Amino acid sequence: MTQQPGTKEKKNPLEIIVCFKHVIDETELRIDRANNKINFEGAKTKISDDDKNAIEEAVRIKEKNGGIITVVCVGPADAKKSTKEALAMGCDRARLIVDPSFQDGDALSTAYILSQVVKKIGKFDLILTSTGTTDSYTGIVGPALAEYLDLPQLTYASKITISGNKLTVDRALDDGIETVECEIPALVTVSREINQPRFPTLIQIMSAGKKELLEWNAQTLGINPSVVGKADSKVEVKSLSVPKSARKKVIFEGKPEDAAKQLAEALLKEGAVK
Amino acid sequence: MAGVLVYSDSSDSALELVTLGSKLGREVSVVVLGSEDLSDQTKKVSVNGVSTVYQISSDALSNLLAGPTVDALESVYSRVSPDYMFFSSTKKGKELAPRLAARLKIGCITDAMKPELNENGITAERLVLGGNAIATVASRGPAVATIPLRAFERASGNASPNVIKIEDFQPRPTRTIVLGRKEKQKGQVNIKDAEIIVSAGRGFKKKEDLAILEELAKVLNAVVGASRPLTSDLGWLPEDRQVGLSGTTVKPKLYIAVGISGQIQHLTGMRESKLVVAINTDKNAPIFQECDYGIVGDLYAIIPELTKDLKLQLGR
Repeated sequence: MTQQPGTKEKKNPLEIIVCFKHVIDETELRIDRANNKINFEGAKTKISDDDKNAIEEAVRIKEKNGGIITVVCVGPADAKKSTKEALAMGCDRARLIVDPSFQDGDALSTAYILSQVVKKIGKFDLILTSTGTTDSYTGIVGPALAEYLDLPQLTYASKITISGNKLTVDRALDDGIETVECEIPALVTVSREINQPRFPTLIQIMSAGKKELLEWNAQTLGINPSVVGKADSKVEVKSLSVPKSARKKVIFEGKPEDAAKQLAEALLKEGAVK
Repeated sequence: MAGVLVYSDSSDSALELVTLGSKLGREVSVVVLGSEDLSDQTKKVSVNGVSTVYQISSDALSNLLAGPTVDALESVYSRVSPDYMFFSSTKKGKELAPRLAARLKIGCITDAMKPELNENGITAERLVLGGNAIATVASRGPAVATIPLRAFERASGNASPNVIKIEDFQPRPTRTIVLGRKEKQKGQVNIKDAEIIVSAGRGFKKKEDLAILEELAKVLNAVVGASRPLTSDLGWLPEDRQVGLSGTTVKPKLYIAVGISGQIQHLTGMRESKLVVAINTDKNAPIFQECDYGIVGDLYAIIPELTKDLKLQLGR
């Protein structure tokens, strides 16, 4: 259960939980257009880009307000590498959640698992997630996790300020910036523009190995495998294909002035410029 | 046969969702929410294909914060029991749909392209892996989905749907308040509706160099967009100029990508453009797979030439 506002002793350090996903590096994927296939073999992995902003923000909040950061990842066993990177960035302890029954679940299932992880961690003031992960970009986990924990959700944060029990967030919305305030505990999803993630120093990388990293599974969390993962997913991925392009692909090379002239003529002919 | 329920934070986008509902052959109900009189909003969505408009007016909905809004949508949903509920893929839509789905214990598909009904649920395509792949996804049963903007025409016509006012709405207590709002300045660039966009990418070496692109934009009456590194990482242009998966999806008549390699994250945001032009030094850049016309070369040499030629030809 979540804490009620006011029950937190003011002197207690701020407890921050930040969630990230260990994903395939989409920028290094090899695409086999001829066979309409994506080659996953030997694909590199990473902390999802936007999740790095969430981790960075957690560290910045801690640097300003003090506190303890627990970083959480639900993923495959090799997510340990990314989890250590998060520790090197400045998180204090990690919970890596690995269980075969958690595989291939939809995003709502992941959010449910995370909600159980948060409950097991127990005390927290602030949960940070990204707005979406670079692999599937569903944007579901943050709001769904807030729902499962019955927390206020402050989404698309471009600025976060904490003062005592008061949390103030600038939200970068479609039509402008909205500033909202609430009492902690709350869940905040961060926008990419909120910060520039740091590169850990060698010393930080070395010392990350000494930080607490616990691996939890369905049993540790008391989760019945039939209510998570593929077994319970309400949305399934049926197939993956390579997007096809029907573009003309007329390429001009040669001297800049000649190529520019050819392009200008093509644009006029197309009626694309007036 | 249960129908579909649609909600959008903009009436215009709601009309696109009505078109989708009608296309799927379903009865369409629209939710309108706010804290004041909702007759204007109701009138806007009283178009062909809409059978019922559900109104909830409550002080709790004055800022349409996620908490009370989801409470309101839940109360309409439980009354209507639709098979599907559609949101626009606006930032608000994408924060509401997952929370509502989690509460209702039904599926959620965000940014659903080409949504169709199957035997049990919705099938749709989603761009994944930064847009390198299209995933075909299907819900097992009822679901909520967010639909990219401008994927469907706006429904039109003057119709007289049933209007049902929900009077007994009780939002859960909320601890969140809005302190202020800074609207985007008037006259500020709106890349979403631009007819011609010239976009800058990492090929630009410094912020000042964007001046040559602004010159070209001026000649074309175009607006200047950018790829994610230039807005999010370097901050050379405001975030609202970002074209891409995490920025704005655009659909201009002409899109000119300058010094943009074509990370799929970017391509995803502009692939619906009518005509695409790419200028890049790297002939293997993915953007050349997605363009109609391309120049392999140095943008610093090409852009001034192109500006000069077009200026001459267009008499500006």
